[in-house]
This record gives sequence, C-alpha cells and structure tokens, in this order.
Amino acid sequence: MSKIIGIDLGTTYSAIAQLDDLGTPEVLASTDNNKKITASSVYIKDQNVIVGDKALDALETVPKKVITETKRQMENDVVYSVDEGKWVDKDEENKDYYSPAQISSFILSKLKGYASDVKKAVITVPALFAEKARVATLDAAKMAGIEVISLINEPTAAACYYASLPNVKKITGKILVFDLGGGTFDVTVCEVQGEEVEVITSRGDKWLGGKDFDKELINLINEKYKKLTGNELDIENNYSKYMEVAEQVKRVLSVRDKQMETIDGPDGAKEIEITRAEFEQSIQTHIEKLKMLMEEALDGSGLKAENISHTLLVGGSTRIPIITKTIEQVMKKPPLKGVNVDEAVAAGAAIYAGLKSKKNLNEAQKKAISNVKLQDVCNFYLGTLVQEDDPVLNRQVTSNLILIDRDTPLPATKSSRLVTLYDDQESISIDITQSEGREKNREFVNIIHQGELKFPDKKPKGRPIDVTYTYDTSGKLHCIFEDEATKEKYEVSIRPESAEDLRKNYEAIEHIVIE
Amino acid sequence: MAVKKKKKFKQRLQHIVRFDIAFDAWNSRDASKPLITFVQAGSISDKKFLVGDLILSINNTKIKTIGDLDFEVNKIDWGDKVLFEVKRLDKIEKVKIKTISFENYNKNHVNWPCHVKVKNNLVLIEKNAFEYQNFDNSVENGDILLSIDSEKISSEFDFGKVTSRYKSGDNVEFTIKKKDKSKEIKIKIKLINSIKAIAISKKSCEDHYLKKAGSLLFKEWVLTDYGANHEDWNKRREDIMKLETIAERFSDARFIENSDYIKDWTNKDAKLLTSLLKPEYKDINFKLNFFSLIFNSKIISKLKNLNLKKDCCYSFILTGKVIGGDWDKDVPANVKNFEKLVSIKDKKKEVFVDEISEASLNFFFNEMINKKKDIFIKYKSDKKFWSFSNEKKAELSTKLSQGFEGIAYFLEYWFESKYKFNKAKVKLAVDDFCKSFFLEYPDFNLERIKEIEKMDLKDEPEYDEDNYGSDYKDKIYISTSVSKKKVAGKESFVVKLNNLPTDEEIENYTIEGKKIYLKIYVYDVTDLDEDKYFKIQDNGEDTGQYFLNNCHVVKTEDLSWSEGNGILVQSTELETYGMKQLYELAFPYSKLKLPKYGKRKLSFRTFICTEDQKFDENNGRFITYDNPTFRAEEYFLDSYSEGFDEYNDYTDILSYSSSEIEVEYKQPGYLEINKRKYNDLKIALSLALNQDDKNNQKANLKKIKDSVRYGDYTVEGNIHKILSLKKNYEKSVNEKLNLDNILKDLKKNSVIHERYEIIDFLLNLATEDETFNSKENKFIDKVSKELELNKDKYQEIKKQKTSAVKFVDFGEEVEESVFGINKDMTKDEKLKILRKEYSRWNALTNNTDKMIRERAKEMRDLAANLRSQYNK
Repeated sequence: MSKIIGIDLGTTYSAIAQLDDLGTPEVLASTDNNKKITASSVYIKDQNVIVGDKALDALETVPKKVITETKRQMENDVVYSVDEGKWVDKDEENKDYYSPAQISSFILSKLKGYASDVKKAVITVPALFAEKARVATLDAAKMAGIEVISLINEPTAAACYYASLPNVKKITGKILVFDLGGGTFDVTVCEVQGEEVEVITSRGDKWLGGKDFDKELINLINEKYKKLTGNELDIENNYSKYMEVAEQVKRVLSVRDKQMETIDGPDGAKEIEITRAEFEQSIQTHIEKLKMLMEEALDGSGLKAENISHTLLVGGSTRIPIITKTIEQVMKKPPLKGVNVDEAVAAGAAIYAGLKSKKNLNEAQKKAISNVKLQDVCNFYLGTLVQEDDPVLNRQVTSNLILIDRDTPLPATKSSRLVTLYDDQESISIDITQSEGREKNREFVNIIHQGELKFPDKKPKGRPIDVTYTYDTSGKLHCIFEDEATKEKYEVSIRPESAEDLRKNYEAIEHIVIE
Repeated sequence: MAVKKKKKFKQRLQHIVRFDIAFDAWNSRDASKPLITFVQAGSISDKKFLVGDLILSINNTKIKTIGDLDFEVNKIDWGDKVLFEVKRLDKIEKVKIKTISFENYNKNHVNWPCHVKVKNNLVLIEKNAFEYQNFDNSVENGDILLSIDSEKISSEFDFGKVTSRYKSGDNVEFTIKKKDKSKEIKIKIKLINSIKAIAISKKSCEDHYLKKAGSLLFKEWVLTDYGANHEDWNKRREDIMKLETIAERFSDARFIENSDYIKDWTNKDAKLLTSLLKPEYKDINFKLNFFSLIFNSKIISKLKNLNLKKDCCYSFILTGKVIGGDWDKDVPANVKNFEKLVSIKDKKKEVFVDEISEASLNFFFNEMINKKKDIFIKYKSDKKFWSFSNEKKAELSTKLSQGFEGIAYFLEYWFESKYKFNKAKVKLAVDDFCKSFFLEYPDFNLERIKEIEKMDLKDEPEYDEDNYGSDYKDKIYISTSVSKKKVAGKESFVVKLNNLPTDEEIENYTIEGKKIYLKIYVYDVTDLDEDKYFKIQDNGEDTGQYFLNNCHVVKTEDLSWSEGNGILVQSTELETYGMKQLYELAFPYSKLKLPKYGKRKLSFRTFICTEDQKFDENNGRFITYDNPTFRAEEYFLDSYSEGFDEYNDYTDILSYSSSEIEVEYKQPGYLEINKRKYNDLKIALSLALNQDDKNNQKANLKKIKDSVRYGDYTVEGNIHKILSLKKNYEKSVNEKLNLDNILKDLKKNSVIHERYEIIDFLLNLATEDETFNSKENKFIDKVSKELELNKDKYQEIKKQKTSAVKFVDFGEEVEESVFGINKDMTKDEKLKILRKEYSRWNALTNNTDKMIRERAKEMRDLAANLRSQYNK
C-alpha cells in the first residue's frame, strides 16, 4: 500500500516525514548523506538535475546553474534563466528557463526518493502563502508525480506536531508558534487543548528569514573589508560564495560572541573579526519586523503576551540568540526549547497526512494519532469588487467587499446580497479578491479570478445577486454568484486541478534525471 | 344498481316548530342519532320526552339521524299534533305532543344570551342574542364559561342540562374567564322570554344609527327564525351592518379616479357587495367592465324604467358623451344621441348586436378588458331624414378601466342634460339609482326622479367643497426635531418625525384617490431677520423678494436626492402599511449643497401633503394659487381653530412642521462658487506643482490642457481656458505662481469633492514619470492641509496613487511625509502607526502587480527601519 507522507518544502532546507509503525512521525534521512534535512538547492547540470547539498557545493564553481530560494518566487511570474543565472520575467522568448514550480518539483522528486512507494503527500506552505504560490506548489507536486491530498500551513503543522508529542502534553492553552526559516517567517497563535489544535490567527513575512540575515552579514563584512583596504568586495559576481561565508559566520555567532573570518576580496584575503553585537545590530530592522508581526498576531487574536502560555520555536533561524531574546522581550517569557526545530514542520505534516488517510494506517498508528485534531483558519480576506458611493468624492468608486474574514475557522461559508446598479443591466463583472489586510482599495487586493454573470432578462436596478463563498479546510475557495430572479449562476472553484501550462512543463522535464 | 335517492327538502327559514329538546351531536346532525340529552323545563316536551330517549320515528316516519328528524320537523306546523316513537330503557314508547301556537311558544321560551362550544377542553361562549346589554358589553365570543349559578360547566351537555332548568324571569349568574385569561368576571342577568327579546331587538334595530342596516338586520333575523336557521348568523349580522358603507362606496366609486373602481375591489368586498344586493341583482357581476355591464339585461331593464332605452346607452357611449367614448377625436361630428348600434368589431371579428345573445356580447367585451386597442362600430340613425349612408364607423378605445361607475357617470350627464338638474340633484338622483341595487333601499324610478325634480336643492358653493375635506377629517399635527448623528457611517442630520398620521388618517385622505406624501425641504435661514421682514411688510413692499434674497433652499449634487431639479428633498409616499418604521429620516452631510460658506442655520421643513401639492422647481417653495409661498410658517395648523391659521387655507397641505439646526459649512456655498474661477485655479495650481522644473512643466501643460474641462464647451469657454493656460504657464515659467494665494482663492471657489479631484489630479501629474519626489510630496501635502481635506482619506488616496512608483529624494523627512507621522506624536503613537504601515505594506508584497510588490517591499523595510530607530 502506498504511503502518505508529509513534506516541508522550505526556502533553504526541505524535509520529508512519515508515520512509523507505532504512529510516531519519523523524518526520513537523505539517501546521499543521511542528513534529515535537504538543502532546497537545485543544480542544473546539462540534462541532469542535482538536488540538495551537492547542489550547494556547486554554488561556488557554477553559481549561475545553482538555483536557491525558489520558494520566494513561487507566486511570481518569473523563470530562472540558467544563462543569466537569475530569475527573470517570464517571456515566451526564454528557452533555457525553469519555472519556480518546476524547480520545486525537482526538490520534491528528490525527497520522494527517500521513501518507497510514495504517491500521495501533505505539503506545508507558509501561512501567508498567496493563492498563486499555493497553486504553483500543487503544480510542482504534480510534476513530481505526487498527489497532494492537502496543503497545510507550516506553523499549523508544527503546532500539530508539538501537540502530539507524548512528553509535552502539558502544553495547553494559547500558544504562539514562531516559525523563522531560511526565507520566510510565520507567527501563529493557536489554542491547544490536549492534542486538539485550533488556529486563531497567523501573520508572516515571506521575505524574512535566515537568508536575509546572511545578506546583512555580507554588507557588514563588506564595510569592514572596505575599512581595511579602501575597496569594496565584488558581491554581485561572488554572491553565492559570500552567502556561504555569511551563513557560516552566522552559525558560529549563534554559539560564540565573535568570529574571525578570512575574507577573499579584490585586495587579497583579509582577516575580519565580526562580533555577535555587530551582527545583531545589522539585523535590527529584521528584528523589528519580527516584533511587529508578533504584536500583530497578538492583536489579531485579541490576546496579550500574558495570555500566551508558551512560545514554540520552529525553523533553523530560531537558533540565533537575538531571536530568542527578542521573543522573550515581546512575550515576556522565554520560548520552549528542546525539539528539533528543523524537523517539526515535516513531522507535523506526516501526522496530518495520517489524519487524512486513517484507512491506510495500522492499529498502532491509528491509536497514536487518534486524539490529534486540527482546526485551521482562513489566512486571507476573501472578497469581491463592488461599486459603492463615496460621499466625500461624491461619486461611485470601486471597492473591495470582504465576504470571508481573515481568521475565520475553516471550513467557512459566507453569503452576501449585492444588487445591480443600473436599469436593464445585462451582466455583472465578477472579480474575486484576496488580501492579507482588510483592504477596501481595489489597487491593494489581488484579483484571483475574473468572470461575468449574464442575465437572461432585463430588470430595473436593484436586482438582487446572492454571492456565496465557501472556503474548505485545504484552502480551496468555491464561489457562487446567483441572480435571485432567474437563478442564473456563475460558479467557480478557484484552485484548479492543474495549471494550464502543466502539460508543457511535463514534456520539458521528461528527459531530466534527478540526482 | 339502485341508487338511494337523497331526500331533498327546501329548508323553511321562518318559525320552524320547536320541541326544545337537545341531542348530543358528536358528528354532524346527519350522522348522529337523535338521542335526547336534555328537555327544556316548561316546554311542550317537558315530562313527555325524557333524557336518554332515542327518537325512532315521527308521525310514523322512521328516522335514524338528527338530520332525518330536522327534515320531518320542517313539515310540521305550529298547533299540530305529533306522534313520536322513542326507545326508552330498551322499550319502545309512543310520545304524543301537541304543539302550541308560535306566540305562546315565544311566551314560554327562555332566551339565553349564548350557547357554548367545547374546544381544547374549554367551554367557549358563542353569543347568540344581544338583548342582555350587560352580558353583551362584558362578554366576547371565545370567553370561557366556568359556571352558571356556581354549577360547573364542563361540556355542551352540562350547559344544556343546566340551562334547561331555568324559566323566563329567573335570575342567573354566569362565571366567566376572559379569553386572554386575564380575569374572571361574574355577570348576573334576568332571563327574558322570546317575545320580550324580539321586542328589544326590534327597538334596538330601529334605533340603530345605521337605519337601513338596522332594518335589514331585524328583517333577516326574523326571517331566519331569529338567526337559528342561518348558517352563521353572527357573520351575516356583521355583513348587514356594513350595508350603508358598501352602498355608499358603490355609489361613490364614480367620483374616484383610478382608485376605488369596483372592478378593483377585493374578492371579499365583492362577495359582501353581492350578499347585500337585492335578490334580482345578485347575479350581476359588478366587477365586469363597462361594456359588459351596460349590456346586462337587468341593468338595461332598470334603465328602461327611467325611459332610457337600450339603444341610447350605446349611443351615449359612442358619442363620447360618457366615459368610453374617445372624446371629440374619433366620433364623427354627425353622430347624435339615441342612435342605434349595429355592430362592433375588432380586428378579428364583427359582432352584430341584434344577432347575438347578451352572453356572447359580454364575452366579446370581456375579452377586451384593459387592452389598449380600438374597436370599430357601426351605428344607424333613427332619424329618417338622413339621406346619406346610415352606417358609419367610429373608433372606441377599450383602455377604459371603469366598470359600473361609468354607467353612473353617464346617468349624471343624462340627468343634467335631460332634466336640467343642478349638481346637488344630479348627485342625489344617481346616488339613489346606485343604492337602489341594495337591500332595504327603495327602487329608483320615474316617481323618484319627479320627487327629486321638485326638491329645492341648492348646489353648495365651490369653496365649500374645498373645505369639506378639512371639516370632516381629523387634523394631523406632526412635529419634528433635527439632530446630528452618524447614520450608516455617514455624518448626517436626522429629522425625527412625531405624530405621523395614523393608518386611519391616511385612509381618510387616500379614499379620495389622492396619494399622501411626506416631503422635507431644507432652507438656509441664517440671514432671515424678523424685524426687517415686518418692516418690509408694514411698508407694503414685496416680502417674497426679501425671502428670495435671504432664505435659500439647500440643494444637492446627487439628483437622486432631489426630484430631478437639484433641490434637496426627502419625499416618500405615506401608505397605510409599513408606516411604523418611518420615524427618522437622515440627510447625509455629503448630500447637502448649502448656499453659503461658514456657520449656517438650517431649517428642515416637513410637509404632509397630497400628491396634488406642487412645489416650485427653482426654490422648492410650495405653490398656492400658482405662486410660490415664501413663509411656510403661515401653514402651521392652528390648534385653536378649525384648520390652518387665518392667512390661508389649503387643503393639499395636511400638516407642516419645521426644525432648525446650526452647521459649519466648510466650503463655499453654491451662491459663491464660480466654476470658471475654480478651473483657472486648478490650472494655476497644477502648473505651480513643478514651477521650478522646466522639463516636467512642459509635459504637465499638455496633460493639464487635456484634463481641465470648463464644462460649458462654448467657444467663449474654450477661449477662456486657452487664455488661462497661457497666463498661468507664463507665470509658472517665471516662477510667479503664488501657492498661498491660489489655495486661499481655491478654498473659496471649490466644493469638497472638487478639492479631492484636484488632489487626485496633482498626484497623477506628480507620478506621471513613475517617480514621486519629496518636493511634489510636500507640495501636495500642503494643498491637502490648506484645503482642509480629511487626513486619512488623503493619505489613502496618496498611497493608492504612489503605490507603484519610485520615491525620490525623501531623505530624513520620509517618516512625516510618507507615513503621516508628525513631531507632535508620542513615541507610542509613532510606533503604532509604523506597525500598521509595515503590516499593510507587508501584505502587499503578495500583490500580483510587480510594481506594487516592489514598492511594498521598499515601504515595508522603510517602516521597519524607522521603527527600529524609534525603538533604540
């Protein structure tokens, strides 16, 4: 029988987990190096693709052919050009290119190989992953031959894992999951009662993670090198090399107060000392972002720091001392330590996979996860564009009408009644919107679907249209716009089974061998 | 197979012989055995029948059910000897009873004020006699009878058993629980016999203020054996009491336009109408259209009695002298009255009147109800001297919506032309004609016409007709108050309405076919000075002009808030349903366009008026005698006299009230605005934006030229625009445009939404090159501040306009200019704003628009960076 696995598809590292025979989540080790986390790096080597640490190794020699931080591009209309060695705008002219979904599919294929007979999976995504990025993740899985039974939010998966641990059963009440990975940050407030996890709210920054700290470190090193030699480092052309150095320095500074590093530059190699204080100073802006997002999450859940019983750490970047210090400062108590922060998300995804496929489990597995329950929320505001009176501007303006509020428990169904503006109006245009903020302004929302509802007859203005949105537990949105008079409907399920250009992509990678 | 023939017997309505015995009829009388449950004490059956006797036959006719018994009893007359066979304690016994005279029966018979019906184990009272005044006043149908003289009543049987023991003249006490279970009452009555009861009823009916109804009530009561032989006498009694009302309404239908046509009556009312018609007219369907009714044989014969012939009815229609004819237009000039109709045809068929039945003719006309098509008619003159063709064509419109009232109307014309009746006589004659269809009303015939002819009836003066309304109707005194409130998120004036007319009051007016409206106009009364007004009045000068100069109506930009003329008005029809919700009406500030700038006093003037009341299109003042009235206060209802005060009486205004409130109007009033000046200033301001940047200035000039519209599109307007562009451009080239002066002027010459329009335009100009620099930002910030725009609204517009452009040269002023932070704010306030800004821009890093996404990342980092500095 094929297994259902959990996959944490991370910005810098990814992991795959499954339930062992006793129902305990087990993170599977790489077949290359026996490590439980795999670098989310892809090296395009002629007709072959190398994924993981080996790809990272190639970064120094063939940086243009090594693709990292793909997850950050999942929602963008970009492709990776091996010739140019960077992400470029998608263009029909591009020949030698790979879409973010394709690159991600290579990583997923690699991970899939760690377990035998894997066809179905639960994949984790950042809580604030846009709809487009979620669709791209599904595409990636499809290309990798994996059927995704559900996408779940990373902090939710982590909370699920923590709640299932037998020795941390005492974690109950409101908890804050602080998930700082290589590229993204998510903070989630949940209510945990025994093994029941109920998400209250999530906040996040998709552009905030260990990689951003590394970039600040490079700038710091550059300043010091310039001070010593009068010349700046050629970062642009040696970006991968310096990023590797920076990551190394960052790791050392997590355990030591200072680090002396030999930096090779235009004026030769120089010994440069970097202190932890200097590093912490350089990432102050990012620290401020973390603070703000924690505060926002508390505000969004209507709680104060005192109401949170524990802060759970997830993600490699939580090893940095200033991070735990900042958490302590905001939450007024130190975070919980002791669980492998790199593996929690994948392990949580494996438990969720078990919950979703109980019939495939043995009795011990069923028993082990029998009490785990999960209640997630909608992480976006979902709405539609409407025309309304602006009394100040004294005219009709287009604005965003929110139907499903952020943090609404899933599954959710909400309805609203709209009316036509004009006599004999023949149709209404439909714009389904998604936004992280409570936006009224049409410029600031994402239109995730457009359509038109035509009326078979003519009626005076004020013709009622019933709009119903349903958002299911896997984040799939179903919208119905129905004309009350004639029952004429426009109905759409926002997340398609496959992207339109998927077939083309399949053809493109058929010949590729993944190592 | 043999079929059992059901016995048919026409029930005799009056005075069926009574034996004063009762049965326990569990099912219908036709299905229940005639098992005696009580025998009235002192009656002819007393001691002859016993409780428990089962009647087997009557006069040797076998009976099985109470229904059979009723059938046979119907055949007996008062004074007859009757032989019964009963089963008593398993034996068959014969019972002989000699009935007495009806009069004697009534002497002995006790009249009870009610009988009872058991429902849900409660003994409910059903009143059946109204001669006991105190019982009638205190007890309602459905009240619960608990006991009679302390004897508990739990069933119909108990009631029969107990009441059967009483005789006329006995005192009896009822203990009754009211149906709302609120209280228990005790009522004592002295039982009377039927003779007394009938006499009381007769007197009461005769004295009833509704004479005709009273008379009919008594007649029908007697006819139906004092209600006993009527299926639901209580219901019939209620219907009869409406006789006068329905007859009046039927007759008055001819006065009402498009409102109370008989064809539009509810089915319930139509049924009531039929039930009150004389038997010979009961089969006339008065809901049919005019043509069907004018050809109805019974109506024709009624008209014939007045010496009107069938033919003439047609010809009246055809000559357009009555409703139905298409006046003047389609009737040939040589057509006279009393000409014979030959045929009628529509596009499909031709109907020859003499060849078809009335039913077919009815059908033909009925098919055309309310269809707006023409039919063609042929008619023939009786006047033999016509030498030319005696068959002609005329058109008859069937869009006619009247029915019987058209006939009544036609009769009016006939009385007027033939008898030369004045209006009063015409009214009386036609009223009598209409009412003569009803029970209790005398027939209308030539004698009656002659009587009326001889009467000395004078027409009432015209003005009295106008006053008639206010004399008989209740006066309406509305009162209002006005306050400032937020309604649906919008700052508004809310007019609270007190003492709005009740449903009955509205009905009183709407019965005349007029719709009743509530209208609220708003006036700026700041400049009105009472002393000045009286001085002008004393001098005999024109006070109207004084009001025109000093009291201006409030206008609106939104035509949906006016009656199409830009004058602000809340207007709503008052209907007899849904009124309760209407007690407050809001006027959002944004909908008001005041005449002047600054602190103003507004008067919210509320009128309850009929649809006929006109309001002046230019100043909203209500019109009397074709002139606008400037002092609405003259129309206050005078509570001490009969109607409106001594200045004027005006029946179309039913009530009036006004309330005042002060307001600060922060934009120039409509009297102060000069549109061309506004556009000149818009040009000047737009050119001042890049006064020191010659490259941008040229690019902007074209955009300004394309965007600024002078609205009038006249040649003169265009020349003015070109000159303004030229003058201001030259000034800007020489850096002589003075921002402070422009803004000062603009404040006087622009309304709020125009100021936002300007901000929008300036931001468009500034971001045209996909950058937004600090100088432009400062300039537009200043414009927004000086024009007193809402800070949040402005920031929102700015964010929207600059969301996808690059910020240039902001330096350290970024926090103030970009995030709306100022030096007066506390650290916490600044941190809070920055967190909100970060959060918002962070959310936008998901945006599908790459430009917005990039800008969002920039702004997000900017906010985080600033906050980290404040937090140091």
